[in-house]
Amino acid sequence: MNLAEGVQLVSFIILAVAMIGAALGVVLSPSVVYAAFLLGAVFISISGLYLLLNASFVAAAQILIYVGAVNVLILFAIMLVNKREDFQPVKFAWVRKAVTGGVCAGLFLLLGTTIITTPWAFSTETPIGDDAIYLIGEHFFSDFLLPFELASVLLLMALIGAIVLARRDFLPDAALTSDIENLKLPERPRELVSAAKTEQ
Amino acid sequence: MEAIYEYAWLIPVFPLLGAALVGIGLISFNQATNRLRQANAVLILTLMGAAAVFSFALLSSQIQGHEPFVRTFEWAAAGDFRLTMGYTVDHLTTLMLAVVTTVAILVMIYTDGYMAHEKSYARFYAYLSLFSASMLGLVISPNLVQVYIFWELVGMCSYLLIGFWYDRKGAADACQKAFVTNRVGDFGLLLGMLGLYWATGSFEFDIMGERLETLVSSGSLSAGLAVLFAILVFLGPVAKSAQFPLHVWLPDAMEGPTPISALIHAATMVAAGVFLVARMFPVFEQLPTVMNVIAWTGGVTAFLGATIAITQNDIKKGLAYSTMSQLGYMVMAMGVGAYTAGLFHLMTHAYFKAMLFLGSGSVIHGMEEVVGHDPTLAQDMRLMGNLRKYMPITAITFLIGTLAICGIPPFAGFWSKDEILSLTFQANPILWLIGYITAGMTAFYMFRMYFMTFEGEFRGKDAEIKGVLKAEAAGVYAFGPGAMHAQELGTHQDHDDHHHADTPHESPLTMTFPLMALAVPSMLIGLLGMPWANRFEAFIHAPGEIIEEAHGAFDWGEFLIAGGSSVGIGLLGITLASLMYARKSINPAAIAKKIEPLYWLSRNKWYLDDINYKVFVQGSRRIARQVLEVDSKVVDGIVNLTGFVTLVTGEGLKYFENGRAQFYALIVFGAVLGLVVVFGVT
Amino acid sequence: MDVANLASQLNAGLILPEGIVIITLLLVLVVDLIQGRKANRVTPYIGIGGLLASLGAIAFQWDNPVSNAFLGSFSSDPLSLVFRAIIVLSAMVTIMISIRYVEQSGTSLGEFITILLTASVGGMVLSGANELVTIFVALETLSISSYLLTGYMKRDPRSNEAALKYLLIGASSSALFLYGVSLLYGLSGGQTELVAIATNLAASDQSLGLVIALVFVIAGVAFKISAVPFHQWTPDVYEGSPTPVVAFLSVGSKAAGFALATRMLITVFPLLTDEWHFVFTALAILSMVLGNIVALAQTSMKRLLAYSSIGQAGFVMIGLIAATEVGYASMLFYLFIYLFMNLGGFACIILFSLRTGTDQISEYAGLYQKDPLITLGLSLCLLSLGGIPPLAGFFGKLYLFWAGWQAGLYTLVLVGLFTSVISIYYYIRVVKMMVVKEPQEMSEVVKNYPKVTWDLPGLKSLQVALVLTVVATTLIGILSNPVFTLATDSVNNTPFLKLDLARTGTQPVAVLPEAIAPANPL
Repeated sequence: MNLAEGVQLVSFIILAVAMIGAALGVVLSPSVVYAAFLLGAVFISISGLYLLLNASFVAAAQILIYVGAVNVLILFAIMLVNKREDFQPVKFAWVRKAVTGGVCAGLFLLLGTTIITTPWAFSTETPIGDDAIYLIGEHFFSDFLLPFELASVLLLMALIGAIVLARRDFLPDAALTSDIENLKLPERPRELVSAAKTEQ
Repeated sequence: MEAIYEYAWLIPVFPLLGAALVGIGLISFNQATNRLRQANAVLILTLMGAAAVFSFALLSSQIQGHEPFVRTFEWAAAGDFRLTMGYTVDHLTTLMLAVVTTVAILVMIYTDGYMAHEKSYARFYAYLSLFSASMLGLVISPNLVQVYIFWELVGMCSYLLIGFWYDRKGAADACQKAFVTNRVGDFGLLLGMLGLYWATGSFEFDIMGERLETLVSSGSLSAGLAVLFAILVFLGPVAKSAQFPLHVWLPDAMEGPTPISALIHAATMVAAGVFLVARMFPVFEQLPTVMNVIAWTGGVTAFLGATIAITQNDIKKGLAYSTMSQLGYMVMAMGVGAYTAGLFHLMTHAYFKAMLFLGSGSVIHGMEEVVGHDPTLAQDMRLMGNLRKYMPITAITFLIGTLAICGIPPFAGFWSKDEILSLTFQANPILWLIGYITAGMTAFYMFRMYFMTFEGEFRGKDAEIKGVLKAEAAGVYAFGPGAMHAQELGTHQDHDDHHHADTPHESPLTMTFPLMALAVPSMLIGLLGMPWANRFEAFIHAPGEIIEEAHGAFDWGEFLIAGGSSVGIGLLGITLASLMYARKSINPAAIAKKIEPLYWLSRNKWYLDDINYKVFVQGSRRIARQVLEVDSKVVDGIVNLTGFVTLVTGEGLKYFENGRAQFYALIVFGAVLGLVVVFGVT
Repeated sequence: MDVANLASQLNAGLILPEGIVIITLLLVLVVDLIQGRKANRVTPYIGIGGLLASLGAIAFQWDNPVSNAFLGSFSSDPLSLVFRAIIVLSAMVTIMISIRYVEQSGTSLGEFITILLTASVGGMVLSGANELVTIFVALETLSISSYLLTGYMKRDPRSNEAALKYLLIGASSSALFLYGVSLLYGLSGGQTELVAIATNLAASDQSLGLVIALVFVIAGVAFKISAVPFHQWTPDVYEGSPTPVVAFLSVGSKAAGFALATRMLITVFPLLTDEWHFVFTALAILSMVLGNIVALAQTSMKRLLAYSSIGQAGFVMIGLIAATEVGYASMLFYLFIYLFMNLGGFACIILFSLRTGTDQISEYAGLYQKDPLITLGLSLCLLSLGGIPPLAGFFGKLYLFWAGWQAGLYTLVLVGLFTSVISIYYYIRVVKMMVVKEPQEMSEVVKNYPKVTWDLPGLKSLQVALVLTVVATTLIGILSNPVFTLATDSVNNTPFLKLDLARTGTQPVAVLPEAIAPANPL
């Protein structure tokens, strides 16, 4: 093992431990704010892994998008909703947790077994390194042209949708009091304790 | 003559057109159409009349020996999936066409009088016409798929018509019951149909029979499977013709208006089951086991119906059980291979039973003037009596019908019933014995009905009996369909009581004319099938069967013995009935006391309704509720073990409950895990 | 590869239908932007016109021999054309029935139509997508638009809740799907095209990984077609969403899911055919049983249709599992008629809720007296859904069951028959409620039923949609032959299905000797 490989191994271990630890923290931490910051840590560690794999463009994109946009948005959302509310402790919450834990453990075992038992075919091509950005561009305009164009429609629509949801609709007071135009479903809500129960 | 065959498809189209015109009128110009009233009836009757003329033209052409005519066209084809539709005109078809159209026309005339004061007069005519169209379509169907289509339509119409009087809670329950029971039968029919198609590759009756025989005899299809398919198909007729054990709907179906009972539940739709058995005869014939099942089903039903009819006090229920019993005869005849006799009885029965039902409607109509519009009172025979004095035409025609059904020569029922019994005797003496005893009971209960209704003293003003009846209606039948609350009855009564006449009156001419018209075939049509000159058999006989012309060798001795014995038991029943209900020299109550368990067995319809209710209705409700709980409640309960709270508060927790979405996601992941594990194991 | 060469290889003309829809949605957006609320008079009709043009483009391509476009990432074979036509039609009817609904709620119509059109673009591309990245982007386009539509009535907590649930569960299933797809990418040695993946997988020997990929892919698909046990979102989302959106989700979105399932499972997993048939059999049985039984206990019309649509999806799966020519054809046929009968039903429900403000089944009592048109339309559509002859639904079910029976799927067909009997019960319950009640038993809302007018903006198109779908439901029953032919032709002319059928060999399972076998059925 030469020095380069040694450094790689050590950084891999550090990154992996940081990532898994942070991810566990996200799930287990009782505080939402901590969870959000730890999520950022997970994203950063992942981008570190990308770097180790010689995919610097993806690593940069990872930080820009996930840490810069997604995670910051989450934090904003948490800070905007500053309502403190005490959750009622759910009875037998441990059952819920146990079932969830069981399913997660099962999935983990399953995927772990798969990864170990599958005879992965290793690519013999040399990693493309920093030229990846050209290659990605080329793909975007040749064999991935259709999804690329479709993604632009998707983004446009997401933009409109976000505006529709966020915009403050101007409604005259009369409309708000009347039942007709109030941005609600025309159907009345059901009586929540359904009538079927009382019949039976 | 070819032209009328080319246009034979018009026969069901005419009434359909009538129904469509009135229906469109009702949908677009509701008020105006309703105001037209009799114009609607005239339109529909004219179209029905045209269909009838057509049918009789075809019948006469067939009698003169015209070749059967089949016209098919491809309805839908995709790959090797092919559906053909069309129409066929042969002896059986023309016979059924003639029967259905005549009964339908007479019932429609009768309806004018019976429903004169009904708000939904026009709608009722539209339904009647729609029903007639589907029934006629069923009759001319050349293959099983088309039969199934019209079969369902006929069922739908019957379902809608039973529930026509919604102000009676019993009607709503009854149509539900009819629906559920018929679904069981139709399910079997569809399944059997698919099975037979899978085996034979055809939906056509004779081809199916032929290929099935080849397959079974060559051993490439196990006989057991063939029997299974055939019995599944037979389930359809079992439900539609009210055979044991799917007969429970027919008596309750009498909650519908009387013209419906006469047209659908006596003359035509219930006979559709027998008709289908006749159509499927080439298939059933190959399979002795199936024929046995059919024969025994018919025999048991005939007996069961008669025993229950003995103790019924509701005039329409009594007739309903009698219908069931007579249908049992027909099915039994089919089962023992007496194809002609079965269809002969179908025809005679259609006429005299339609007449009896219309007669009972006339009686009820008359009674309602005295006791008010309350079915528990107006239909109960214990309140009637001496109606012959007030309603002579009804009484005479009812008597003719009664004599016909009892098998007294020369009325129609004698010839057909006697033919069935003598043929059954040759095939299976035990079944014959059952049929024979049933014939005696038939005579007894029919004359009981006649005596209670038309002879003796008029009891319609007897408050004591009324009180007993109301108590009974509130108490004894409270568990089943037909239940009404005692208070409801009271209120009905209160405001109905003012304007009643003291004595019933004869019904208007529109109602009595059909009775008189039907009396003619009830008396005479049997003469077509006199065993020594059986013109009916020459016309209708099982496909493939050759009728030897040598009628000269007719055995008078045998006929006299068979006919004499069945007349004998009929007279015995009549005598007994007259002793008990006309002369009152035997007290029926005392007999009932002596054999109390048997009496209650019959009175409570062999407890079959209760058993059904306990086992199937409650059972299936419980299953449905449990599945619902598993889906929306228990699954939650596993998570937070607050299943009971959720059960009590119902679905209310669905909103604003924070754990649910996560839990749904958990199910998704769990299901994925489960699927992979299943693969790992298998 | 130079530009000219590339352009000639793209066959970009094949996505003309999608292109038209995209241009339409931009047009709607711009017109809405310029004219403001006044645009509500125009935008829906621009949308409908665009969809009609797109339908025309689809019809125009029917005989086009070239089916591969965008270097193999999209194929426009007859199968995808039929699916795209179904999606376009459902979007069109949805717009027609939504105009009044959206306007009455006071939300903006232009954006609603834009998002709906985007969803249909997503579904259309999904129907023809032949490559993993395209599939995923198309799937997400469809899904995200659907989430937005679900939460469109943003002041209503039910709508918010529905959107949130749909989003969360949709995200989980998308994640599963993406994981499965990435496994396929890895196992096949870095291929994204479906055919190439299949070839590479056949060459290598993987078992566990492939099974996991299969199950994960199925999880994504089953979510879209709301098959049990991936159905949990359906009732809640259906109840909380605006009703026209529910109509689109139950038809368009579902059709897209079936298109994806057909193409992807058949092309990628020929090695695991038995396995995925097995999974789908389980899903189909569960869906039919649970959907139809739970529907019995519903009191709200939207929830009733939600559970019924779960059951209907189960029926359609029979055709997919049969894996014969008639099987696939019956699936297409049923989806096609399901489009009309379900949308017709929704048109009636929307009209009723617009006039009375409720969708409780008990409130329909006695409607016959006040509004015969809704009564007739809803009765016909529900009876057709229940499979009562001679309406379209009967022939669809008969065809499906017949195909299943022929392919030897006896259990499935029996379960299907049995549950369809159950389903008739709850459909007829509604019909009876409307038809068989006298004036004194009318529900309160029906007693106060407003005078029937068609003057308000948007009601005319709703009326047209209602009449059209009901007429189609009735007529396809009677004149089903052209649709049968269409379905069979599209299956026969689709290359990947032809390959699959040639490989499995579609001999009908029959006990007959050749002589009397269905050589001359009927």
